[in-house]
Amino acid sequence: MMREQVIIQTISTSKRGQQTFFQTKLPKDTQRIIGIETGLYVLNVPDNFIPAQELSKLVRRNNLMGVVQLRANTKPDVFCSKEIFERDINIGADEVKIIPSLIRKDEKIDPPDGNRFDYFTHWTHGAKREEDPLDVCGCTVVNGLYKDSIGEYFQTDVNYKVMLYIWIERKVNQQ
Amino acid sequence: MLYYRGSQKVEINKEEIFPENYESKLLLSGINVSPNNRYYDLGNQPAGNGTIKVEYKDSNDSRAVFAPYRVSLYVECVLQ
Repeated sequence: MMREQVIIQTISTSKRGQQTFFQTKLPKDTQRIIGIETGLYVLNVPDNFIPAQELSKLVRRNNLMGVVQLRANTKPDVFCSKEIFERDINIGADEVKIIPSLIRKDEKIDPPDGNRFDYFTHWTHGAKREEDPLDVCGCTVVNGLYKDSIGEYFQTDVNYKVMLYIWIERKVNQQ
Repeated sequence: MLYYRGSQKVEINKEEIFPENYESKLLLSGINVSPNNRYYDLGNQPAGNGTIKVEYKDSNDSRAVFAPYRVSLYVECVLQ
């Protein structure tokens, strides 16, 4: 009987350009890796870190937190490489823009646009989340490398945690 | 609040479905998704003793300063 399970790996970063090597041991009865998900906790940010919701009016670059790469212990190749973004700040960029005439006259006030959903874009525009599908057999240990990018970009230390979720398929004896 | 700060462990019939620290946002769908499709499909998970144990954890995230909030869990089940 096959059973799906998720293994969680936490990657903590606190220094600019920090590289983190990690190993994640999988259960002995793991048949294959079937998917990867990632998450993010931003713990402490410096003053010059610009929150993404303020980058409105234009289509702007998303804040790239870093890149994670994964290798299986039995093979030399990277089987997964993923960029971790703080969030998608352009998710509402193609929305119809309604600019009331009162606001339009006053140039000091920024007209509302599709990116002005503040923190709720995941709720208004978000889809159902699913893992990135993979099919990696014969892996007992995942060797990973995470490299910070956001600290390099802002030239300062940003303290955050990247969560890595490795979905596996296990062979379980049915009793 | 839940999107940035929440994680949980979920057990059904004493079987661990999601381990501790599994982020809540990974189970969350936006209003773009029709209500019937928002459920996370567990593939006919047996209800067993009918007990669902949830350990919810609120973690610090500087993008969302803590304020009181409510978390609701909706379960779709088949009745015999």
